[in-house]
Amino acid sequence: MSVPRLSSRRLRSALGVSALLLVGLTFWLGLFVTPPAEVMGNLVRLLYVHPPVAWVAYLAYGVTTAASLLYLWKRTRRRAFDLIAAASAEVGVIFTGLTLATGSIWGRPTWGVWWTWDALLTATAVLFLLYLGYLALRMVPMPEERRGVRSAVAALIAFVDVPIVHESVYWWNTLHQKPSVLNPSLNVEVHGIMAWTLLLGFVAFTLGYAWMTWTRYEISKRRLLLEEAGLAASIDDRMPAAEVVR
Amino acid sequence: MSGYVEAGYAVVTATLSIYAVGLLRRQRSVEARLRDLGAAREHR
Repeated sequence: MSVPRLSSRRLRSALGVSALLLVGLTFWLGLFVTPPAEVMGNLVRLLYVHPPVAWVAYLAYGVTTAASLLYLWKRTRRRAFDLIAAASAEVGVIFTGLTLATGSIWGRPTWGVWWTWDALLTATAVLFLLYLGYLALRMVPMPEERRGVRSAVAALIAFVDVPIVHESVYWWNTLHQKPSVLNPSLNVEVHGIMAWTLLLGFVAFTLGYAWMTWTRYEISKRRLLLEEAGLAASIDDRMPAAEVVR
Repeated sequence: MSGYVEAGYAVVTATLSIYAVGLLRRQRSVEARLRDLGAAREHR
């Protein structure tokens, strides 16, 4: 019996559609189905979005770091790892921006300020700037392999800030609350439909991240093909002239 | 609701939608260029 083959394009489309549906379901549950919290009231609804987007930022930078390590190690050096690192970092920057924005929108009614130089907030802002710097470094014109190596080293340096962000609430006396889900004892402090909605948010945004990173990687891969094909075509164009000169 | 909740969801929806649509457009554009290049090579 033959097993039907699922092309990678169809798999990617299915991933994108699943992410879209699950994010939509999370939003519907978060906005209309879950009850307001005892202390926070309706503001708790922002927490079905804020921790999942922050998690995706961590995940994205983790993938960038892993791909960068694989690129730096000569035995596993492949152009694909460099492209995956870049794609994941770009998506990570989008999600870090969303973490800062949703946190700020939650902080205004809760703390009374849009922004404060709290340890966790500052470390997250630094993380955002570090990976923006990484993306800027990738745009500097230089030979491909040198750019890959330098970017990979920059990614490893930038990743040092990720545990600082996560642990800052334990290391310093911060305004930001300690994690309700991703805490060291894995003691989930949310229950019932609120917990399921939060869990769904984590799954939905993770699938969204996977679709975005995969699509971004495929675009970079095709751009490289285009550059190489363009180069080959221009060499082909010059060949007859070179023959005449000879 | 307070307006802050709606603002938070709107920011996330708008940002991710713009980025995702941008990705799809970039993908379509690069694929069209690859096809054009392939067609030009065949023509030659």
